[in-house]
Amino acid sequence: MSASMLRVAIPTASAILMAAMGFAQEDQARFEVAAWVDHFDFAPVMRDGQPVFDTETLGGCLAILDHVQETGATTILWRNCAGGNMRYQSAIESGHLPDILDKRRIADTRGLLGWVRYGVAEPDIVRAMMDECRERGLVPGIHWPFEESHGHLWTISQFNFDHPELWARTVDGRPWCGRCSIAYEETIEHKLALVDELLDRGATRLFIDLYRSGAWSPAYEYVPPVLEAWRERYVEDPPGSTTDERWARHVSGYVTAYMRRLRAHLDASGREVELMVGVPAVSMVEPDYALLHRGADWRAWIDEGLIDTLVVNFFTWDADRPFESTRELGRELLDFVDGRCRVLWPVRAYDYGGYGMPSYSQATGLPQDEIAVRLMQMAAEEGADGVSLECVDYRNYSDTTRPRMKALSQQLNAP
Amino acid sequence: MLCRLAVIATCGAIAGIGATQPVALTSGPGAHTEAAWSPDGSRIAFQREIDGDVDLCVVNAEGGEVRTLVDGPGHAIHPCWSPDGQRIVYSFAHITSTAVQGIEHGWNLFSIDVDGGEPQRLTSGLARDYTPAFSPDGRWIYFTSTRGSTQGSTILMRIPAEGGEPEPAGGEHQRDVGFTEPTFSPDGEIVCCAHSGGYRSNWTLRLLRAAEPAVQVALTRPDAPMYAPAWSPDGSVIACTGYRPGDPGWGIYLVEVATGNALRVDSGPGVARSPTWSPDGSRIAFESDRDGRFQLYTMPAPQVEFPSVEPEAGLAAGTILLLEIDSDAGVIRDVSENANEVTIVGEPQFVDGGVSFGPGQYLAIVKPSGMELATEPFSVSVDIEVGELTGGVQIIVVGDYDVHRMGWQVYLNDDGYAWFNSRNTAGGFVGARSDEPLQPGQRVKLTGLRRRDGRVDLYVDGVLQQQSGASATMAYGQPNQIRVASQCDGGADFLGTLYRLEIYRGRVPDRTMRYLSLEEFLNL
Repeated sequence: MSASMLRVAIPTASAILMAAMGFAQEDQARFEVAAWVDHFDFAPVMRDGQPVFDTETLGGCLAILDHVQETGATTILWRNCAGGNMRYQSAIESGHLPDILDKRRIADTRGLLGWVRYGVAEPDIVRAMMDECRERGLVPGIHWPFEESHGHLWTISQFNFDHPELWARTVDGRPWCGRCSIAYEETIEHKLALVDELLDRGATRLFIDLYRSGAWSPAYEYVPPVLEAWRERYVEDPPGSTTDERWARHVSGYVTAYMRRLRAHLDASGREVELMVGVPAVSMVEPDYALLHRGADWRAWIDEGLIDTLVVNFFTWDADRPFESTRELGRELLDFVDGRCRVLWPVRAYDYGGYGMPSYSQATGLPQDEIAVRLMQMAAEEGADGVSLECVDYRNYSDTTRPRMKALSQQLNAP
Repeated sequence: MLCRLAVIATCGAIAGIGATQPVALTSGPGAHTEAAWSPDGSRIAFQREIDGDVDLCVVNAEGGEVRTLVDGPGHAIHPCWSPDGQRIVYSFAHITSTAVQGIEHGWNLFSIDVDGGEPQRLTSGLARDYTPAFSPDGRWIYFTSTRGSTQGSTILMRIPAEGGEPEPAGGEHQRDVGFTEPTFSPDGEIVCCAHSGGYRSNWTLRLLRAAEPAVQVALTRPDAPMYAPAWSPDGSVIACTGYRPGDPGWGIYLVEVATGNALRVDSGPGVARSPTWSPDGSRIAFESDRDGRFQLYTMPAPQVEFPSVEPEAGLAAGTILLLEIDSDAGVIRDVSENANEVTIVGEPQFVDGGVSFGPGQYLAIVKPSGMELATEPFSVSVDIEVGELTGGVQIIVVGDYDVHRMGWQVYLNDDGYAWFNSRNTAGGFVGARSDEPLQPGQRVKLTGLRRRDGRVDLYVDGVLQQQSGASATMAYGQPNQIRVASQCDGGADFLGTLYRLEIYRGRVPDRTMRYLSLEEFLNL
């Protein structure tokens, strides 16, 4: 059997395995096109001085969905938060811009963006959009960054502000308000309670995006329980280097523990919910970026069967051989995964890290639409289960790109 | 009567003190927060949140019936009393539409007679004005405001007490930088506020001269976040909300104004926040969630004995380079015991105790003796005035070694942030960054410290900055040169003024790092 024939066989085996695991096969496209949607990014889109989308209303969000569907998306991963603040009517966490001023939070003062209040919007935006996705035959999912702050002080959540005793700490023991440590049970329980809110709103995909970590890394996990466990295990103080591999692996134990809790929580919910995890800079060389900078031992998660889908945020392809090296990296990854979970290949409009379509365009001179279809086609040829689109903001995927992607999506999913 | 209490922990600059049990002041429905004690001591104003609606209320200082002063739809928050006790100023918003449909108004200041009546609008417009505070003479209302901000920041502003156009009163807008919650020294000369240096920075307390708010000094350090300051009536102490590692959560801290030393007050179980003083200084009111929801409590104000802090041992013997600039004579000397020769290249301008550099102008101390640092800790301190920011990197000082031409550096990055960096054993960059970008014309003292364990820290005017680095354990032999005001082989010119350069073995004493010490600030 040739390598390409083997790869064609993998999706079938994968499908059988997933069916055996009880996945929601009826919702799943054969070749998934998963669109990440941050409706906040549609808020400042203006035409003739007027906003195109009122992202605090159902009508505005439906218009966003119309635009997103022009890419041929089969799954919608709707962003649920800005940092630690939720973009729906959360009962347990502060909203996107709190309704009542908290003097510890410096407000976003950017034009429209500074005044949108998704936390009090009617109807509840996430519930409405999960319902709408289902109506339109799309898989309803949530894009949840692995973060509690997102670039601004106003994104730090009420839970975080209220619990400095749970804050992460730097190597010199200084409290770091960017995130509550995942080593504390209170932090995990809070996150699981938020999961319940998302499940209650009808999400059937929960996508944890490890690229967006709010600058958190193992460098901020020098909290007492993590330190005590280290000293007990190694009988010495932790290394001064915050990117020491042993330290990263030690911290990864806590991230993995969280993933186990999440998996168990989803399984116990009685709902068929798929756990997706986004990993940046996927490399088969260990220790990789994800381990050192996110404490993410994603190989172990696959080995243990914790995750249903691995979303590749980006491959670190070679600028001299953009497509060839992308194909090789993807092939290597698929060989490792070997059908144990689904894999979504990046067709990425964003260029953070330098490996998105703008960089492909720079390296090849090709326009975006050509790059997008080549990457989609490559993913299908190599046996990936689909592609992930980071992120479908307004015209991030150009007017010429969207129709070509849609046509290819329909072709790949044709009976 | 003051209640004398024992200091129960005196280790370090922050300790804890015991207090008598707080007494519940309110127990009504909803969350009661942001207490403000009336000038005559008889009443306390506060905000009450029920089902997402926030009203302004008043209760007698001994407790009893709660009177609603401002009610109805919307949020009335952050009450403060006029010095004559006749008015309460507060922040109010009632936002009913989406951002696209049009916000009716922002968070603005209003005033209401303590006996009720129609509120009077003091500010207007689509901004957020909050945490008002009267100056002690009653002439001004200071407050936090987003006016002029485009990227999420706040400054202090003020309006005449009777209302008028807001004007800046402290701080400058920079992304995610906050100056909030003003409180006055009893003589009205100094404003204390909460300050955040940027994204994920911890809140600290900062002092500003009211008449010249650009003159500032940090009162507390980011190791222990603190906010919501309230200056004591006798002027010696500032109460605030604070947290230090090891605490169970937010609590009430007292900060000694003269030293910045802080003590946590034992306020019982639960979170305690937002203290306010009785006008005679004998009691403190605050909010606590000890019973599951925030209510108001009062307790006797502890009479505090702050632990004395031994001044750090002087490290004069550890000085290995100390440049003094005689601008009258146009001479720069190394007055450390190493007395290394300083070469002036180009024709920098000598100005008022300093030397101003232009393109291609720099200082070089070639093959300096007595500067082998090995892997030991060291500090580099520069007193500078920032010149034109060109959008490029500006090297203030660099240590040039065989092992690495840019062994360590103090520099301004192309975005205006100051950095100190050293190197790890592989030559990798390990840096510490200032919390805020520096501004042209800013006089500032930058001190970089490479610690024994390889951590690198940057202090700006004596204040430890949030971002630091680790594993900078490169061993340094004799430098090829110490280059000032350009990169070791030219370029990256520093276009500002140098007043002093010091390099030490070990850690520089705090007082050396400050351009303006707390003591000097208070004695201005």
